Order: sequence, then C-alpha cells, then structure tokens
Amino acid sequence: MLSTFAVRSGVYGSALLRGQAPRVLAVVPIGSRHKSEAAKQAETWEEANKIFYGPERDTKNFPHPVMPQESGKVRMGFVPENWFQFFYEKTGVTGPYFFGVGLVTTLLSKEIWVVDHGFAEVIGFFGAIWLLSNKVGAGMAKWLDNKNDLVNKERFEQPIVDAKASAQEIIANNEKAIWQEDGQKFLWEAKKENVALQLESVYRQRLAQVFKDVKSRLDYQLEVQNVKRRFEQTHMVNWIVDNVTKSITPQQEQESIKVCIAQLKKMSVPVATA
Amino acid sequence: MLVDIFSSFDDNNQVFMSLYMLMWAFSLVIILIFSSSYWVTGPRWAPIISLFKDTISSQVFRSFGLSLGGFLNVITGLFLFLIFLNLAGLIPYVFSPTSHLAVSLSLGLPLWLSLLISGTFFNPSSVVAGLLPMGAPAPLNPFLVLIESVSILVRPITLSVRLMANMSAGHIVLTLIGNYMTTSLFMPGAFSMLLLISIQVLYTIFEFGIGVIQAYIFCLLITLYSDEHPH
Repeated sequence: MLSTFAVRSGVYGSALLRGQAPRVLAVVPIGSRHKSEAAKQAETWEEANKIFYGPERDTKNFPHPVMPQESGKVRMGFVPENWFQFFYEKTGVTGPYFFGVGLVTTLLSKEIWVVDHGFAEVIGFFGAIWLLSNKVGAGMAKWLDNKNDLVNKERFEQPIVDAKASAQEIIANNEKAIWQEDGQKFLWEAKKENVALQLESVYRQRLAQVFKDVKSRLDYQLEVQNVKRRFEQTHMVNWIVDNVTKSITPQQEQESIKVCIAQLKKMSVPVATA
Repeated sequence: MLVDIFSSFDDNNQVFMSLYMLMWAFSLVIILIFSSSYWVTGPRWAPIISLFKDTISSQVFRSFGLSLGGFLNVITGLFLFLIFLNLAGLIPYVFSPTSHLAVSLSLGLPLWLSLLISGTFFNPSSVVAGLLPMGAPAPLNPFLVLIESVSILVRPITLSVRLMANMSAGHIVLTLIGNYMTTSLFMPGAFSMLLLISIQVLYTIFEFGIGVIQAYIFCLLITLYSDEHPH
C-alpha cells in the first residue's frame, strides 16, 4: 500500500500538497488516435517520463531513490559503520569502542541494566545469532539471493526479453510477407502468360475449325459436280445401249445366230477326233 | 518491582509509561515491519516469507478447507502471524504474546467453534454421524460416541494450551538457565560458565525451531479439523 501511494504521489504529489484536484488524469498524447497499440504505449511512456524526469524535478535536493544492492555496512553484526565514522573525527579509531564499553560498564555498575535472566537471554540470543550466521549464513544468503534473482527474472527481465523476441519475430514475419508480396509480380506474369497461351490455343483450334468447314463446303461442291457427271454418263450409256438394242432388226438377229452355230460346229470337230 | 521467573510474561511495563496496553499493542509492530514494502524488488529475506506461505498453502490445498470461503487467506495469515509473534518473543526484553492463554485461546476457540457451527448448520446429521467412526464393534458404540464428543469438545483447549505451554515453557527454561548462568558469571570457575552459555545458546536455537513448528502445528490442526466439515 505504501509503495502504490509512493508511486502515485510522484504524479499527484505537488497537486495534493496544494490541495487541488490532480491535473493529469490520463496521459493520451495528441494525435495518437490512429497509431498502433505499441506506438501509443511508447508515447504514453515518453510523456510520463517527461513529467517524472523532466527539468521541473529538483533532483539535487530530492534525488531519485535507488534501491541499494547491499545492506549498509555494519561492524560486530549490528552497529552501523557511519556511527564509527561519526566518532572518528573527534576521538580517533578507538573512540567508539571506548564509548561502547564505557556505556555498558556504566549501565551494569549502576544497576540500570540488572544482571538477571534478561541479561542471560541477551548473551544467549546474540550467541545464537552469531552461531547461526557463521554456520548457515553464507549458504542461506546465496540460496535467498538465487531465489530472489529467479523471481526478479521471471517478473521483470524475462517479460522484456520475451517481448523483444516476439517483436523481432513479428518484424521477421512482416519482412517475409513483404518479400512474398514481391513474388506476386512473378506470379502475375506467369498467369498472364498462361492466359495468353490459352487464348492462342483456342485461336488455333478455331482456325482449324474454319479450315475444316470451308474444305467440307468445297468438297461438297466437288461431289455435286462429280455426281452430276456420273449420272450423265450412266444415263448416256443406258440410252445408247437401249437405242442399239432397239435398232437390232429380226433379220440381223437370225443372221448372227447362224454365224454363231457355224462357228460352234467348227470348234467342236477337233474335240471329237482326239 | 519483584523479579521472578514469570516476570518475563508480565505485561506491566513501568519503564516508559504505566500503560499495560502498550505491551500488547507494540507486540504487533513486528507484523508492520515485515509487511511493509517500499521497493518493487523485494529484500533478501523475502523468499523466506514465500517459503512459509508455500508450505502452509500446500497443506491447505490438500484439505477440504479450500472450499470454505477465505480459509486459505486466514490460515496463511495466521501461520505467518504466529511465526512472527513466536520468534519476536524470543528476542531479549521483548514481550511474548503467544505465551498467554488470552492470545492462544482467542485464536483457537473462534476457529474451532466456527468450523463446528458451520458444519452443524450445513448438515447436522453428518456432524452427529461423524461421532461414530466406521468399522467399530457394535457394543462399543455408546462409549465411542462419548469419547468422540469429548475429543471434539477438548480441541480448542488442546490447540491453545499446546501453543501457550510450548512458548511459555521455552521462556521459563531460558529464564532458569539464564539465572544459573548469571550466577556462574560472578563465581570462579570458567567451565560451568562456558557450559551454561553453550546450553543457553543452543536452547535458544532450539526455541527458534519450536516457535516455527508450533505455529505450523496450530495451522495444520485447524486444516485437519476443516477436513471433518461435512461436504
């Protein structure tokens, strides 16, 4: 809860101090209505950074708090180092130790700090802490740091790495799509050629069809003439034969039959003698 | 001001202000210290809290209590609460709230009673039927019902007294050894002093473990009692 309040008061802090309503309700930069979501987010981030880290911030007197990597230096497990530094200017190196021993001695001797079971518990408790930190301290610190690193990596670093990787993948896919679009030109040329070939073949088919039709008509005319001539020829032959047959008189017929019989007699004689 | 072995449980604090309520109120400061967070990335000891949370969550997930609304939050919070109070009570001169029956009973009695009342209103015949476990020989039935009902009724007392007795016994033993140790500090003979210091140190480490284990047992038993809730 404190952390969310701290983050929010960075934006609303000065406004709250003056008791007014906050001026910035939503950071939507001008002209960002038609951009992609990622571009809008980047613009919002830029605007927020301008407010948080812009020239209006007095970073000299109010520096940005940065989480320290390691905890503050201590001596003897729990006494901060800057207390020793505080004493060093006035009293030198042994000053703080002298002060500590003197303070403890005063408390004990004046019975402000009574030596009872509570005192024993102090010895026991700090002895236990000293023993535990010596035995398992380093190992436990390493284990805890590993776990913390894993959590930080999963929550803060891995999402950024994943987002970058997926953005790279999207860029690569888009470039591939652009390259594929270039290839569409070749496809179109090939299709055009294909259509031209089809047209050519259809044209040639039709040409052949035309030739066939014209030839068949010419053949018909030829046949008609042939038939006519043949018909005339046949008719003429028949007419001639009919007329000749009609012109044969009976006397001519008798004469031709006598001639035939005489020839036959002539031919039959040599057969009888053999 | 009389100091005896029970004075570490005394909530009369007359050093700062004569107001006993301050002892109880400031015993909860440790919860505030371990619950606050300023930075986005956690401190080095944050995985310890996650470890405790995961341990008790896995226990609750295996019980029926998960179907009761808000049970997981209550038990996980209770576990961390008891761990912090138990461990804080071991710091010298710090008041230990869990060594008082007032605290243990205030935690144990409502949890047990709420489970019992919820089960009775949900399915009273199932609760009564649970008094007679299966597979028992018939002549023992009357005695079994009595014994089961006594065992159920004594649960809040055992739950709270177990926690209170373990914590207070630990403190009392530390007090006793401490008394002998402070005596041996002012007597000749270093051997007895060293022996008692080592016993004190080792028993304190043991008490750290007992504090965590007792908190775990308290929450484990409540999840087991929730398993007997009618489904």
